[in-house]
Amino acid sequence: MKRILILLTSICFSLNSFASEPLQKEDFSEEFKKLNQLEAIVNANPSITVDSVIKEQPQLMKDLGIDNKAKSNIGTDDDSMRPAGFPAFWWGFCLGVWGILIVYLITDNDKAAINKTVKGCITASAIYVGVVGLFYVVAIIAAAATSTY
Amino acid sequence: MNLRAFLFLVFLLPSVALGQQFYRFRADVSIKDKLSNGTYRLTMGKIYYDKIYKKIVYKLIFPKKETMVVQDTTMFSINDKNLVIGTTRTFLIPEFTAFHLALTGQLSDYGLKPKNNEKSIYKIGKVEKTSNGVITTWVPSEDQYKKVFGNIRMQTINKRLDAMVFYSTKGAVVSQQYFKKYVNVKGVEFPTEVTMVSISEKGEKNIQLTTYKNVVIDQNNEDEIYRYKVPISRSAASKK
Repeated sequence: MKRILILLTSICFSLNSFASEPLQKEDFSEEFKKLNQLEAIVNANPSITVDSVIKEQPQLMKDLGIDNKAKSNIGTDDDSMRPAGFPAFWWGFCLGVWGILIVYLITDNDKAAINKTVKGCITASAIYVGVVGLFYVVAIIAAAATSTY
Repeated sequence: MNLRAFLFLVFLLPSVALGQQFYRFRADVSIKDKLSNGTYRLTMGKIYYDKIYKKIVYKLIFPKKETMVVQDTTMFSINDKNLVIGTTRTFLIPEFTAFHLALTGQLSDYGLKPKNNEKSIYKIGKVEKTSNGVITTWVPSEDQYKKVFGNIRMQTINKRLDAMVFYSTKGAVVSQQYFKKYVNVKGVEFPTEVTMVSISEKGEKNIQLTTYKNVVIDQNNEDEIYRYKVPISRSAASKK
């Protein structure tokens, strides 16, 4: 029994020592390896544009997910596709034109976010039209079926 | 020692030594982001800050050549024709930026220590001395704050802020910040590498690495940039 207790205690201690302490920084160097390449390109030529980097290093920019619509990332919500924490598509899907207006105001006319909201609005409208159409088709078939008797 | 010399030493010297004020910060900045959706962003340029005007001015060269001015809670994007092309709300509060805290000598406690006669949101809950440095746990000072704010753990090494962890009210880690590679410019201690990890409720991580180079303190010229006047005129695109 005593041995088991000692074993359990030692396991607990070893697990504790492996548990990550959030105050200790992880090594993120691998995460930013490709961005470092891009940074070196800009440092070598400070007047370079995103377009010209895309021309020169298309694979690098594709891997980084950076296109010619790239924006700086200073002090804003990282994900403009989630205005107020709710996906842009669902703003349009649930609230229709009001959703588009709200996203327009929240994102200060972020075209990509508004595009998603419009798609949400169109999808909701298409589903609505489809459901109503199906209802009429079913109603017409039912009416035709009862009139034959 | 005569009376004059004595009075000079007693009254004047401490005020000279303690009253050293720094006003301006300028540096080359590179902000690298890895977003939770797997994409990356790179922002490069220069940053200007004057603690009197409380405006953060970014003169960016990448991804676009533009000026970004943070004033109160609004960020203005200004193109090379000096037209405002966009305004957004920002979470950047000048008083809680690393450069403001460094200029005012409050970076070691991230400005959490209450100033004279000020009501503080946080108070020190626990202090531990470890092999890695001193870990201070800050807890909300009143019960009403505990409903909104979680604890903050802070690690200092040789009186320099090294790491901070922000917790939610439920005790989950919401943000980690690391302050590394300090330089001392004119007596201002400043970390040239700041890493911020933000963790959403779903556990999604955004990692931001900000590096500063060529730090200049109390620059005398480029005054017009430090006190940048946001133009009234807006571009047609921003009016749409």
